[in-house]
Amino acid sequence: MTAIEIRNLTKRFGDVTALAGFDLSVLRGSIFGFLGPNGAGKTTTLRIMAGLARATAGRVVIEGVEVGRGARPPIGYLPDTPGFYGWMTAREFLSYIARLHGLSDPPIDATLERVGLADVGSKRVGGFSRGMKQRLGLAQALLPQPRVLLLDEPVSALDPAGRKAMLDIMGELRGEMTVFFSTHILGDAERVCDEIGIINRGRLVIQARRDDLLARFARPAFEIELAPDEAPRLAALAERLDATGWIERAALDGTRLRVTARDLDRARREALAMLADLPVVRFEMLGATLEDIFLSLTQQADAQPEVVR
Amino acid sequence: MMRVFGVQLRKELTELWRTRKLIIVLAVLTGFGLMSPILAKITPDLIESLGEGQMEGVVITIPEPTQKDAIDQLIKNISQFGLLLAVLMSFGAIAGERERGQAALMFAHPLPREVFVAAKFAAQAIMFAAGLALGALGAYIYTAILFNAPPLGRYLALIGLMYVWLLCLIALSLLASTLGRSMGSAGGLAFVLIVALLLAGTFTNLAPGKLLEWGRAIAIRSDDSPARWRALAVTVGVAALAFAASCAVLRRQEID
Repeated sequence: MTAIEIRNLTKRFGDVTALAGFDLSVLRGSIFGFLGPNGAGKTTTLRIMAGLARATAGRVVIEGVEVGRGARPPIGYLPDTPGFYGWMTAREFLSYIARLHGLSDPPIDATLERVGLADVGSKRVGGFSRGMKQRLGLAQALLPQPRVLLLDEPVSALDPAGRKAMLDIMGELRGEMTVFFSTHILGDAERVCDEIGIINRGRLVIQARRDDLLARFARPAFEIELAPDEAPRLAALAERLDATGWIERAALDGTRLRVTARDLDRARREALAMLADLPVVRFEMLGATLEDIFLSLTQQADAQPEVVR
Repeated sequence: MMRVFGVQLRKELTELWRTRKLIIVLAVLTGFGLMSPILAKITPDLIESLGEGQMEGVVITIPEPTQKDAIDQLIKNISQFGLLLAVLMSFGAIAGERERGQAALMFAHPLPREVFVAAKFAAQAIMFAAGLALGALGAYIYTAILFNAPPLGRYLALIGLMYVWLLCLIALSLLASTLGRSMGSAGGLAFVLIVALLLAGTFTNLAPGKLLEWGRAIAIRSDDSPARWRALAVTVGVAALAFAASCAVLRRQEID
């Protein structure tokens, strides 16, 4: 039940290798987050998938259709900065897209409603804000009801409310269509994705289900918070912890102390004992965040790709 | 393919209308069409009045203007302003859409790139056909009023040859628009191509510019210029080649 199959995808621009030949597959109906730092190759990958650029080697198959071999795969695509015809209204633009696809009864109003543009459907796109254009970009990608939605940095230009709305829409699409989106906003990927691929310097560093990834990279860390006026005692605690052999790092931040342990079991037992006479407000074991995993993996420049299923 | 072409042509024509390009082309070509016979009529009087009192004792003899002068004026105006309009209206048509990110959005939809080019060319061709028709009609009416009506068939042959010449310019500008990576480079390239085309007229009778000489000779029943069928074939060939090259280049191009 694979919706997207990428094999040995390679792209070179002269001497520069943008994509170094990676494999990736995406399950049908899932939401796949494609993460990577700037210049990692995310947009190049998406452009190849959308048929706007050609791979130097390798192939992309979307819903059984090989990209760039004549037939058009059933995709909807939103580039990172979509360009519209400013003289058209939003409704006119969607109507034009519907006619290109030969749709007899296009759900234009429903689509505008879905992306939150119902009130401005008759306004010229030239007057739209960047966030509104991003929503219209999503609308034009959704209108033909594609089986695979390709979104390049769909939330990066949006304010927090706009991001939430966009992510909510993407979440609603789970199971309805396959969503493949690139982002460098890790919190968004963590929030909405079923599966995650991390790319760095044109290489796929890891591909895994989000929950597996977070569990696999769980850190041996905990955070202690004391009452606001107990900062000096917390500093003393940090020094005592540093002196033990089972602490890797104790980082103080006001009345909070973040502790990374070498031996988590021992840390749990002994740290709790050391807190016995302190006014503890909070003691929390910390899970890994996608940000930690992302930074850890992208800093290993030559790591071998890994697929966790 | 034809359905998508229809959709795209409708979009292009609507764009020309909404962005006022259509109005500009119609107004300029109609204006120069109307002005041509009037200018031909009043030019001797203007020169005479300017010369009065300037050079005592010198008598300026200017022949009475004729229908031929009106047609010469029309050819001169259309060849200058028609050329300018044809280049200005089409050099940014494709480069601009690529630069503004519209092409990246549209080519992910079922819009074949050759249809995209064909619709652009067809829309420009329709716009210039309308502009030239109005300008030619205005010029014909005023020529008939101020002088005498040129033979209609011969006059239409002149306008037809002018139109083929304009289509060749549009096709070359669209090719420049496809090849240029930005609006600026497309404009520069269009300028180079058009200058090369105009210069070719001084070296060979096969150049597209010779169509205007031929058209003039037909319209005024002159024997100065023989039939230039080969120039017509070259002009149509250059336009067709430029169009085919635009399609081929755009099909191979990677869109940012």
